[in-house]
Amino acid sequence: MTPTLSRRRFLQTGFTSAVVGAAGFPLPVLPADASEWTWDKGACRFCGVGCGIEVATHGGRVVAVRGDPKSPVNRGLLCAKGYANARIPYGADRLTRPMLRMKGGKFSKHGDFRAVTWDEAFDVMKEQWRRAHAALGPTGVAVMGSGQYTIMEGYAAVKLVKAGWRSNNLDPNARHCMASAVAAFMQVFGIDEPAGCYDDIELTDTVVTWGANMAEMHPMLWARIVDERMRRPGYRIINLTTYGNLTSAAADVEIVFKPNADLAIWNYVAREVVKRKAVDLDFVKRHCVFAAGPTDIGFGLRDDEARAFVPERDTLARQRLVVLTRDEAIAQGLDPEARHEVAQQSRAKAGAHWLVSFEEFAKGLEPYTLDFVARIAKGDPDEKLEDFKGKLKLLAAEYVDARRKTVSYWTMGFNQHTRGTWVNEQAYMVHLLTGKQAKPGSGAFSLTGQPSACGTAREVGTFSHRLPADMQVDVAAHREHAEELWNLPARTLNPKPGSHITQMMRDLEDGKIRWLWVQVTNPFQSTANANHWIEAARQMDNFIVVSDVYPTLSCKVADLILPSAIIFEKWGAYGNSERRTQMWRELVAPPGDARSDVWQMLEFAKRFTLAEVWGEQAVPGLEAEGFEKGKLPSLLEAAAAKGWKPETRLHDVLFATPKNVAVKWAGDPVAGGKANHTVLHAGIDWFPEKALFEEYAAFGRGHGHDLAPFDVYHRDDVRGLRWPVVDGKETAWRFNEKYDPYAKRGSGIDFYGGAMKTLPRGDLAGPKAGAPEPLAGKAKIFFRPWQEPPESPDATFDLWLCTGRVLEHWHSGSMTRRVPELHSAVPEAVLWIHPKDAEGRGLKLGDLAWIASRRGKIKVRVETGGRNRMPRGMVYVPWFDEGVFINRLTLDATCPISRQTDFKKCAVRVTRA
Amino acid sequence: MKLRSIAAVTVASLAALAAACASPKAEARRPPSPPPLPPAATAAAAPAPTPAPAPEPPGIKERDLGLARGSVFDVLTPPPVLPERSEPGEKPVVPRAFAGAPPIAPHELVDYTPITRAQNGCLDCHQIPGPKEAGQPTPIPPSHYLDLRRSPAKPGKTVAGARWLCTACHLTRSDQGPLVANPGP
Repeated sequence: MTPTLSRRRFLQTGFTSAVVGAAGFPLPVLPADASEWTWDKGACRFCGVGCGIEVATHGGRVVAVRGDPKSPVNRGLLCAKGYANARIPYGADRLTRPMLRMKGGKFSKHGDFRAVTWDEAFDVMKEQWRRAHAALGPTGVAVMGSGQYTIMEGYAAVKLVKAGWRSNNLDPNARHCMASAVAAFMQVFGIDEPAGCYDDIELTDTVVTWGANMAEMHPMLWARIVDERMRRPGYRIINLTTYGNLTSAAADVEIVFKPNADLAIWNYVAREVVKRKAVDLDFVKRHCVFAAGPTDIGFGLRDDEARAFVPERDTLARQRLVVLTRDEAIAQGLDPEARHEVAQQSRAKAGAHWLVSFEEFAKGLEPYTLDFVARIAKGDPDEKLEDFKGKLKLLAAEYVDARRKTVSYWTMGFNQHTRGTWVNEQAYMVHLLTGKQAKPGSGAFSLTGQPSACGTAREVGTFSHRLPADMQVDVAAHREHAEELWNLPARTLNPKPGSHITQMMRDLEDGKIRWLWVQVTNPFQSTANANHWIEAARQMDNFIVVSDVYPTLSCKVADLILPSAIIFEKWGAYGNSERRTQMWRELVAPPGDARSDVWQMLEFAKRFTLAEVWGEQAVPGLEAEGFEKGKLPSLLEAAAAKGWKPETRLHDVLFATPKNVAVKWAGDPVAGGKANHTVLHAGIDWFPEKALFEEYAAFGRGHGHDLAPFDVYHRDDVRGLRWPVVDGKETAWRFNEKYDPYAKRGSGIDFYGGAMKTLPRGDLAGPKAGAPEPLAGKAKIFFRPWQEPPESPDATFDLWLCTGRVLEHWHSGSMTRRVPELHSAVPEAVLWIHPKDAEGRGLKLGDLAWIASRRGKIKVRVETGGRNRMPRGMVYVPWFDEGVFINRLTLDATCPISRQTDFKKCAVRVTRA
Repeated sequence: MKLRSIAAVTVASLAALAAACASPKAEARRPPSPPPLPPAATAAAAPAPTPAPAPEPPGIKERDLGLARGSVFDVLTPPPVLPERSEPGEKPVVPRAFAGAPPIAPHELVDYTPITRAQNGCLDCHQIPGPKEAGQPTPIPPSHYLDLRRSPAKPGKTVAGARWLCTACHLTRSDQGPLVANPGP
C-alpha cells in the first residue's frame, strides 16, 4: 500500500533554516521555563545496556530526559523506554503510604488494604518476622531482591540478611535472568563477568546473536551493530533464533532452530573447528584445558510429586528418570533401537566437573555431524533441510575463519534454559578453541538483561550462596574475610547456602519459609508455574511484604505493601553488561511517605537486637567444618568482646558503624547542591549511600574487582568506568595482558580467576582417582551434550510456548504500562502464532483464545503477523501484562547447575475462547 | 479411518485438557498445608469488653489495585486489540510528552515495518529538510544526520546508521487510553 505521490515531497539534499542546537540536537519549541531546567547525568532505569542519560528537573519534578552525548555506551541516543525515564515516577497510582491487610483494626490475611504509618508497618513486619524466626530460625525468613537494586541497596540487603539474620535466604530476580551466565563464567574462567566490552562492536567482523533479540532487548547496542554493518560491507550479522524477529530484519542470515537445539549446533560448530584444523593450537595449549561433567542431572524440578497438580506429574517424572529419545541415543553414541532409561542420579552434584583429554573431548563431538544436527535442529518445518544445512555451514565458517574477528552475543535464549550453564559454556568452547576470546573484537559476550544484575546482584552477591566480590558462603576463607571486613565475630556467617528464588517459592508452599520481603521485583508475576506460589502466598499462614513504587501483582498477593522511592528520588549506582559502574544523584523528592530502600533496611534493622538474632540458631542440614551439626553458635560472648551488648541494635552493628557515620552528608564534596531523602527521613548526619559503597568496594579492590572511589563516578567528566579500575584507569579487555593490569606479565592472556581451578582428571564417563591438578591461569573448554528439554509438545499440548519481552515494555510492565505512550504502542500482551496454526484452530487475527498448559490457562488475543514470525508449532507470549498472566502456564524447570528457570520452552495448547 | 482417529484424538484431548487445565485451587492430590505458626504476640492479648466498634472505613480491595482489576485468582479477558490503521496524514501529530521526546507516529506502521537494512519506508516521506509545514510529514531533524560516535560535528547526507531503525525510538500508537493517568510535565 504505497502512499500517493501527491502527498509526498521529493527528497532534497542540503538543509534549509532548521534550528540546530549546539550538539546538533533539534530545538523543538521549548516551554518558556526550559532555560530554568537543570540537567544532571544519570543512567537509564531499564535494560542491561546501561545508556547514559541526562535528566532535566524543574520545580521538584523530572521534566525531560535525553541521551547523553558524552556516554560511550549510547552517544546521545536512547530507545523509547530510555525517554520514558522522565515519565515513570508520575503514574497516578504511585504508592505513597504503607498499606496493610487489616480486619477489625489489626493485621489479617483476609482483610483489605488500609494505610498505616511506617511505625505501624514495621511493628507488624517485625512481629511476623519474630513468629517465623521463632518457629523456623534463619531459614524461615527470606528476602527476594533484584538486579534492579542499586549497588548500595543490594549491599545493605546482603549485610542485613547474612550478617544480621545469619540467613542465606537472599536471592534476586537475577536468578531468573543471569544465573546460568554466572555459573558458566565461574566454571570456565573461575571469575564472573565478560572479558570484553561494547567496543568489540565496532572492532569485530562478525556478530552472531543466539537467543538474543537484540533489536528489541538491547536496542542501543543493536543500533551500534547496525551502524557498523551499514558502513562496512565486510561486517556480517547472523541471528540464531527459535522464531523470526526484528533482529533477523537487520541481520544477514537468520537461522531458525528448534528449542534446545542450540546445544547441538554449538557441538556441530566445534566439530567443524576441530575437523578443519581451525583450532588455535598455541592459544589452547597455553591457556586452556578440557573438561566434562555429569549428564544425568535432572531439570531442577521438585524431586517429588507431593505438591504437583495431577497433570504435572508426567513432566515431573523426568526429574528422576529420563527415557532417551532415539536422537538422544544417537547423540550419546548409543543404539537408537534400544530403550535407555537414565536415572537422574547427579541432580545434587550437577556442577561437578573434571579434566578430560582433547581426544575425549573430540570423541564427545563426533556424533554432531551436519546431517544429524541439521535434522534435529531445524526449527521451521517449512524451511528446506538443504537450506538450513547451508546456513549451518555458513555459521561454522564464520567461527573457523581465523582472519575474521567474531563476537557471539546472547541473553535469555541461552540463560533461561534447563541446560543454560552448558550452552553458555559451549559459547566459550568455540571461542576458546579458535582463540577468539579476551581480544578486541573477539569474544563470547554474555549480555545482561537488567540494569544492575552485574553491578548489584552479581558483584555485590545478593544470592543465596554468595558474598561480595565473587565470594561464597560455603568457602571458609571467604566467610572469614567477610567477617573480618565487617568486624563480625568468627562464625557469624551461615555456611549453608540458602534457597534460590524458585526454591523460596517452593519453600513458601511447603511452609518452610513463612516470612518474605520482596524488594524491587515482581516475583509473583515473574516466577514460572505461578498458580502454585500465589495460592501458597495467599492461603497459607505466612507474611509477605512487598516494597515497590507501584501496586504490582505481587503487591496484590502481599500482606504489607511498602511505598518506595524510584530512581532519581534517591542516590544510586548501577553496573551494566560491560562492567561499567555508573552513578546518579538524588534529583527529586520521593512522593508522600515513599522511602528509599536503603532507608527501609536501615530503619528495620533498628528493630532487632543482637540477642534476637545472634544467639544460637538452628539451621537444618548445616554441616561445615568448625560448626556443630545443624546449628550456628551463639555470638553474644564474642559480641561483648567487641563492646556490643545483647540489646545493641543490629542497625548500629551493621550500618551505623564508626567508619560509616564518619562519612558526613553535610558538606560532602559531590553533593552538588542535591538533597538526600534517606538522610532526611532517617534524621542522620552521615551519608549512607556513599558509606555503604565505599565499605563494599573494599571487598573488590586489589582482587580484580576494583571500583573507583565514589566521588570519581560523580565527576562531571566521567560517564561510568569499567572495572577493574586500577590507578584511575578502567579495563576494556580483561585477562589480556595489554589491557588488564591483573594479567600476569609475559602471559599474553591470563585467565586469572581463582574459583574451581583444581580438578581431578577423568574421561567423559566420570572422574578417575588421582590427585587434582592445578589450573592457574587456564580457562576450561567443556564438552556438553545436546539433550531434550523436560517438556516437549505432544498430542495434548501440541505447541511450544516461548515467553519474553517486547521493546516497549520492561519486565512486568509496572513502570512502562503507566507511561501512556508506551502503553498505547503495545497495549496488551498478545499470542504470536503462525497464521496456519491459527487457522487450524479456528482462529484469526484479533480473536480471543485460550492458551493452556498442564499448569494453568489464560485468555489472550491472537496475533498472526507483526514483529515476530513464528514457525508452525511454536507460539510466543510476552510477560509484561498482568492481565495476560503467562507465567501461570510456564514450567518451573531450571538449569540444575545455575537454578535459572527455563521460560523459553514448555508445551501448550491453543483453542478458541 | 483417518477421520475416526482424528476424532478420537480430539475427544481424548478434550478430556485430557479438562483434567490437564489445573485450576488454581485443584487440591485433590495435594497434601494438607503445614500447621499454622503460634499466633502473633499482639493477637494473644485478651480483648477488654468494648462497646460496639464504629464501622470501619472500607479498605482497598486487592481487586482494585494494579493494572488488571480482579483478584489474583481471576482469569481475565483481555480487551480487543485496536491497532492504528490510519494513513499517513490522516491524523494530526501526537503531542509530545516533553520537549525532545521522539515524535510518535500518528499513522499505521504495519506497512512500513519491520525496517531492514535495505528498506526503510519511513525515509521516503520523512527524509526531507525542515522546518515542519502543516499537513506535511514531520522532517527528520538534523541531529539524525550526525554520527555522534565518529564525526559529531559533521552532518552526513543520509540518516546516520545508528539512527536507521526508527522504531527503536519512535513508537506507534493505538486508540487505547492510558491505564492510569500520567500527566505530562
